Amino acid sequence: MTANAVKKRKRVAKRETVRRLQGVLFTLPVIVGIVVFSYIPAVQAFIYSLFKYDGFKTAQYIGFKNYADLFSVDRETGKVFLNTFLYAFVSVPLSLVLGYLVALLVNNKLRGVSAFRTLFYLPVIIPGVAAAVLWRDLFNSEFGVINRIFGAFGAHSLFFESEKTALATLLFTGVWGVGGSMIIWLAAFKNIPAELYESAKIDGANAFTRVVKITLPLSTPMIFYNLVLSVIGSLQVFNTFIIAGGSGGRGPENSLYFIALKIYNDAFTRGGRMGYASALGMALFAVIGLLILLVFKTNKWVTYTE
Amino acid sequence: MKILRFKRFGVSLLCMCLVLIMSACILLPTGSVDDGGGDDSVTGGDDGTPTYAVEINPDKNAALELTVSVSGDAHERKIIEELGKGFQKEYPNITFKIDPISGNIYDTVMGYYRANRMPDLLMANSFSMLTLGAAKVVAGLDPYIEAETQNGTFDADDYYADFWKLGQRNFDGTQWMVPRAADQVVVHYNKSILRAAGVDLDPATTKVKNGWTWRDFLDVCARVRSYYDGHGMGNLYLIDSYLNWEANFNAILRSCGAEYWGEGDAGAIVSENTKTALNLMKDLVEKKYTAKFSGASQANFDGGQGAFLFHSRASSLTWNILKEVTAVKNELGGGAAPEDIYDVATFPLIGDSPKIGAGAAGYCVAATIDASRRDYAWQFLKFMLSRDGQNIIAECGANYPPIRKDMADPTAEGVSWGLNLGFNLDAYTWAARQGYACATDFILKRPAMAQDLIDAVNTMIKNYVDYTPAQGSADANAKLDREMQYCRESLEYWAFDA
Repeated sequence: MTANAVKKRKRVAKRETVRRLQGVLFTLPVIVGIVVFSYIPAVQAFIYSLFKYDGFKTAQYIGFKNYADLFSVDRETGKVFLNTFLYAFVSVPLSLVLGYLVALLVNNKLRGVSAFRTLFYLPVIIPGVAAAVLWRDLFNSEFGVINRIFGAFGAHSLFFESEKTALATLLFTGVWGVGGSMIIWLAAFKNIPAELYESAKIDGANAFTRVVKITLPLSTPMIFYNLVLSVIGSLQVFNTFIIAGGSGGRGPENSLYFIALKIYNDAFTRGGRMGYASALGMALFAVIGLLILLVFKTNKWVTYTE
Repeated sequence: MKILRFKRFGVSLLCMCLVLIMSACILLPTGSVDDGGGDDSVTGGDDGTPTYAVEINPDKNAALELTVSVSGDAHERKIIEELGKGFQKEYPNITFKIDPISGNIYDTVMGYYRANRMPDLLMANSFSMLTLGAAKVVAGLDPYIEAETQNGTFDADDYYADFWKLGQRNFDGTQWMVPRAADQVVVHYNKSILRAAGVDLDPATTKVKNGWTWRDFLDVCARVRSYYDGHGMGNLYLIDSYLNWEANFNAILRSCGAEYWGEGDAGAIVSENTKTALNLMKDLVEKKYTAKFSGASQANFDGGQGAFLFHSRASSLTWNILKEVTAVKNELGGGAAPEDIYDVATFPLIGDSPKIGAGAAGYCVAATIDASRRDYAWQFLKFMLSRDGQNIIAECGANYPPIRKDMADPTAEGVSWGLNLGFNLDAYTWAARQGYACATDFILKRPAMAQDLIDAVNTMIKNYVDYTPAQGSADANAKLDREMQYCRESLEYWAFDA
């Protein structure tokens, strides 16, 4: 090997090192952010979960007692897990299907369709507290608009004020956010090659067939992505609507009491339970992890294509 | 290839271990393992007395910035700012920085503590004070009180004992908080509505006065109800009763003789006295004097529609809201005086041993600050308790009753809390003078779970008061028995098991 070749190789290697270093530097803020704001707090929470810890000064190592207490002593645990799973079980398919249907509806080139897209998306940009006040008034059992409409048909509901209807009402308010998933679906639809639809049309496929045979299979990666995010989001639901409504977030007879809210209550409103709240957080982490693992293990229905 | 994979795996594993170890080293709970917490000589420990050395005559020219953690509302900030200005007349180089508490006090203080930036003084109430004290983050102030008492510059007897004790551990121990006012539940009433309903308001003969009884109150309510029903206001309620507020329901339960705890820490809420109290509350709902718990309806006292409001709110604040109502503006325009339109009276007395709800807000000194800062923080609290300090609080616009007994008369010279309003402000301190003030002390069984204990009782009241029996009184009695039983189980669970 000549000296020039060696020099050239060294120059290339140096350039490659600089390039890699640049890559690392560009990704460093994200990596540091993830480590500092996600991994370290997660480890911290696990460590706290092994202590009887009040968040201030007093900490006593108790091993896994907090975990044992979750399901043997705490009489709220069963209720919050039940509420959360029920909420997730209904809200995930509801938001996915509704968002998908709305996206299908507005995924055309009709005149004025962008106005509809804007209208459907508009609720997403309204602040949560403002939306909460709105829902509280709409669903007010005595003077709310919804009950006035119901009243025209001789019906009446207590909505958020009864343990029988509170969760259903909260789920209904979830429809408010379908605009968010609609945007993601629309982006997915735009990636489907137009030639496929043209070929299908030539072959005589009607609109329904085109949706079932082309749109649906080719948007499965996005369905999968939305599914994962929805499962995580719904299990971490924090119930801001009701908090803004002023009922302490738990709803009548704890009917809207979810795991995330219980974690908050134990950590920050009940003195001396930071360690216990951390154990509950780790339990929720484990449950979400298992469910997501299940989703990944059963993802054969997802079609990845060029 | 295998080697490369192994290397990657090894590096990943090492990184994870590194993060784990770093986290474990840095993030172990403060106080480490089983050390029982902070400096007991400052906090008083679990059940002891603080023993630190104090300086009650600190250098008046010292330059220092004290940080005060104050609830988010602008009015409380103004109080501290004005108190600070008053304090600077004696300590000209002490300045104040305000840190707002947004929402939950415990949560906010925890944030301060963990960020190692505890304020010198922090606002609390008689509930959060207990939790902060138990967490050993607020100083026991007994050494200052003892030193000042010996020096003749402080006398705890100058203050209403019923309110002063609401700053103490278990309401009877180490002084963790200095209450800044005497908060008492009173009945705010709309005189114009009562007058229109034909209620006798002649000061010489009226039933609506300090010390009126529950019977008197119901008589007046019956008259106002008839007036509402006869004038197209059948859908309106009379009272914003806030029966779900512990200051109110606790006073009613205790007045009827109900107890929460019996011998051997057993729950004692299941009793005939509790039934009497619950039926008394249910009676208000059934007669349509007050709205059900479920349902957002209120009597809307602040909007000029309701006749009564059970609350400890300062009368000046209530009047400031009420005077913006159009009908009230018209009356004022017609020459009526504020006291012709609105006034306050004591909470109606129930039974032979009446109780009236009392609470306290105040300020604590952080246990973590150094001794010299603590000395000035105490001097500031002492100033807050002085006549000048109490007048400054009133002059900020909210005429909370002063905690000083010698300022009970709002019309006396050198006493500002009347704010030149002709309201019956004696109502705010009347109960304390009669020994009727009643703190929410059933939560002392386990202050850390105060809200859950309160919720347990609240649920019982709500479920029974709102219940419409399907099959008459037997059905209602069965419901009452069930709710009391469930409440007892809940109280015991939150006090001992949770």
